[in-house]
Amino acid sequence: MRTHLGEFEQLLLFALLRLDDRAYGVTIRREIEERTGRGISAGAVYTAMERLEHRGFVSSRLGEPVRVRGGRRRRFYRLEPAGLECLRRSQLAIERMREGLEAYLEIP
Amino acid sequence: MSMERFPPPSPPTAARWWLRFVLRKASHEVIAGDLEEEFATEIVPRLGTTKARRWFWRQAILSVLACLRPPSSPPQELLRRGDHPMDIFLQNLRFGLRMLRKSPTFTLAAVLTLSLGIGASIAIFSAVHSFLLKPLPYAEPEELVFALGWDEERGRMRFSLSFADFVDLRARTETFEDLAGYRYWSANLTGGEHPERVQAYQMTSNAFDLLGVEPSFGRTFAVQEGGAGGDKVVVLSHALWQRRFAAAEGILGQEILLDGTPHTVVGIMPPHFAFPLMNFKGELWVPLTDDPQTVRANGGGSAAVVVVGRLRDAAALAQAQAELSKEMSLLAEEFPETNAGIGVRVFQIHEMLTRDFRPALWALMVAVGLVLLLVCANVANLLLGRAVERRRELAVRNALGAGTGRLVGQMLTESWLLAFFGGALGVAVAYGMLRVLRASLPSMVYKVMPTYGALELDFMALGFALVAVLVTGTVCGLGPALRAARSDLRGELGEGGPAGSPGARRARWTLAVGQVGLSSMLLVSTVFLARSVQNLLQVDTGFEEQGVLALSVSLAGERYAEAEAVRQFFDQVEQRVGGLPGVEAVGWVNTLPFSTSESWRSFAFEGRPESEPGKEPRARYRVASPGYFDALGIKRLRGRVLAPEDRANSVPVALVDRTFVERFLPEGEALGLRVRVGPTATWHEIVGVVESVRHTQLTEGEEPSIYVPLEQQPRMKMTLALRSTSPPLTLVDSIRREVQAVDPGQPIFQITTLESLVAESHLAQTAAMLLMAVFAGFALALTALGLYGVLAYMVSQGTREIGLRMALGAGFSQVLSGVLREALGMVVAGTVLGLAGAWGVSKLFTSLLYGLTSENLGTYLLALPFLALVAFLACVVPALRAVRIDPVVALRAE
Repeated sequence: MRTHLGEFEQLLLFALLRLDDRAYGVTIRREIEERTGRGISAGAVYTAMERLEHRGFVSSRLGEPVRVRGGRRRRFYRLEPAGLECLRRSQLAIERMREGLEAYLEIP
Repeated sequence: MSMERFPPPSPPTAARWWLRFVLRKASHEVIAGDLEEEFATEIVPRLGTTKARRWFWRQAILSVLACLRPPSSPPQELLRRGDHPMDIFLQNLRFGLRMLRKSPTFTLAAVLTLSLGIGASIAIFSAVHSFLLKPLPYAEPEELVFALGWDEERGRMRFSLSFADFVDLRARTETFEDLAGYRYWSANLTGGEHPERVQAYQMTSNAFDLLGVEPSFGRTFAVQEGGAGGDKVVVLSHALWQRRFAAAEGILGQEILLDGTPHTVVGIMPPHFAFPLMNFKGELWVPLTDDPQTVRANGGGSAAVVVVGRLRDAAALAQAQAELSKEMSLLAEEFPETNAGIGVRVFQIHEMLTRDFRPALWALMVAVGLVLLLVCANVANLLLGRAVERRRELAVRNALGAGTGRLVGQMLTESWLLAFFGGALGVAVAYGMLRVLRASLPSMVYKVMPTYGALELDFMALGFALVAVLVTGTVCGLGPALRAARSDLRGELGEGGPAGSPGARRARWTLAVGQVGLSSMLLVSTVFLARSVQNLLQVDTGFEEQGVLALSVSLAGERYAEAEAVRQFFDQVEQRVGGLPGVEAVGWVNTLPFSTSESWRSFAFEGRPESEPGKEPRARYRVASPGYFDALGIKRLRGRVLAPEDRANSVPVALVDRTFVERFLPEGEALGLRVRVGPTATWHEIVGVVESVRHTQLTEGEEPSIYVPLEQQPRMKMTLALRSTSPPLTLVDSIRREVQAVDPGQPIFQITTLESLVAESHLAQTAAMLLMAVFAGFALALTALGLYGVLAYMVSQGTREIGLRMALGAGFSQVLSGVLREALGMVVAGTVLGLAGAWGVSKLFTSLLYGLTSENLGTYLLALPFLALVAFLACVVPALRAVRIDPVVALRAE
């Protein structure tokens, strides 16, 4: 099992952290777009979340049918402990690589 | 107050269908749901309905693309599976491929047949597209027309108009945006390693602007460069620039020597540009330097130009014609001596260029269509055969609930697969065919046919290939598909059905008959064309073209300012060349038969009243040296031919031909009469009559000719005709040496044999015939296969019955005759249909026929032996097999 996350996957997991139990497709995309300015498609979110779920980093459940979705149900996602652990490790790896180079990136 | 709520904006329906079609149920619920929710709550309020719908489309497409990206293991199934149309198609595809792999001979046979048929149709389509459909390399080519001189009296084309007329027309016209004129020039290009003869044209200064093509480098003519006294400038073609000047940009502004006169290079045209499109393509262009005033004063006749024009409105051809005709008749009243009886005809350029080839090409397209149909019939026959073999499998699948639609889809998918492979191979076949076609057409065609340039596969051809594949696949697959749709379990699974299900048998019989019909149509067409070509070849040209070499020389410059210098050159060259080993006869002439040039003069008889202007008798004007008649093998009929004694200072003489005598001197004696040719004052005495010679086409009527000696009327451009015992082209280098021994700066050009010139004149018919013959041969082969298939099937299905009959005492001959009768039935039915069809189709290429009309019954009958042969070949194996059936084995087996 891979123990590292791609950049996009990390963004998704952060979004899950923020959104807590309000996290589903629409809210996740909105969160990422507002914070990072990156536009992502609904399909991209869904496929990534499926993969994360398959690896056990994320769990999901279906909600109630909703009118505005044409009667379709929302799929809510939740961060699992394994996912949180993987996120932490990925961020640590980046920090260690970044050490001392902040000046180049002009990161305060 | 009741408020009607407007329906809320909804996302585009097509995008929603797209999502539903492609995505699996689970992923569809989430993704489509997310998108619709966001659409309604966020995007519409933010962006408005129109932009929101665009957003939705983008999201729909991007989401599906995201789902397609290869996921990490294990692979996730986000796209539809199961019983979705798309998925069923994929399943069918896989199943079909497996079935095809299982029966390799069948697959190979079908794919090969299809590749030949589809390949041929792609190749012919490319030819049609390249010759007929490609637009000309000018701006808005549909507005471009020729305005060609027309002889009103004789109803014949004169081609060029006088420069004075051109100037007047240009000034007076309103329906034309502009008119331009050009004249064939051809000059010696010297300076550099070797002198070269270039095909050049003089053009009015507005010509390039009229055509609307910008030069790649430099500029085209300026207005002041036209007319007398303008600077000597030249515009080069891309090909010449590459070939002679190594594509060096520094050539701009340099001077080159044309006929000894320096011309400054001011521009270079782009590679795709070609002008004019008829006759030789121009290698360089210089401005026309005629002065309208002097031309009019000199009687107008000599300074001729070919006129092209751009209409203001491409649709106004009739008005343009009317206007120009009116102007020409006004000019005829104003200047009766020069313009009487001269009219004008306006033609769209593109239409004129394709005129000769159009019937041949359309005939070929029809032929190819027939071949493709035949191929489809064959493959359908094969597929039907297999469908019958698979009837149990199909019946079982039907019983297990596969559903008719499913089975039909399966059958169609298989035939599409075959068509696809056949088409892929067919592209290769077409490529090969086009290469052969390009190589076999004589090089003259490259020079003369404009859009010929690229007889290659382009995107249009590939698009056509795709269409052909789809159509072929559908047509071939229909039979088996419908058959599959009707597979009934009980009938199929029951033991030992009757001699094949009657439906299949009938279908295959019909297909075989259809094949015979199509083949006979092709056969008849081939025979028609073959007989036409045969008739053409038998036309008496009046000369013997075997073993005759021809080449041209054009003198120019200070050295040849005196007539005596010109005479000496031609005389010396003739002497020297005549002394080469293997040369039987050699002579000069101003225009060679079947070359693209022609020369007419009006003439007058001494002692007869002068004719009205415009109504003078005219004849072909030939200037020849004495050796010419032997070189070409033109027979002397009366009196004598031209002799070396006819010199500049002796009595002016002339020869006429048989047609001349028949037309102008029906009762009287020709010899001794004196004629005056053209505007000269010299009276020539007719000293002999020679055989008439065909000049332009084997199919043309005979025209009168007058010959005068070269010594007495020297000209600058002459063609050398030479008869030799050795192959003509081997002598070219020696001749060049002799010519350059007399004048080192003199190139020879237009080197060809008389034989190839004559062959090129009936190019269209010969090529069409050859191709048609190939198609017919292919068709016959397919038909034989098709007939064989049906007969073999019949025999195998009727084995039991035949066995029974034989057991009951039927003899060999009866069994044999049964098979033969069956075969004959198909052939007769097919032939009748085919001949009727051929009758109709032959109307299409009547213009290609020579010496016989499409009503010629004998031609239809000539096709019959071939069909009989095919029938016989197809019969042989099944008949033998039928005869060898052992009744015991047949009755026992089941």
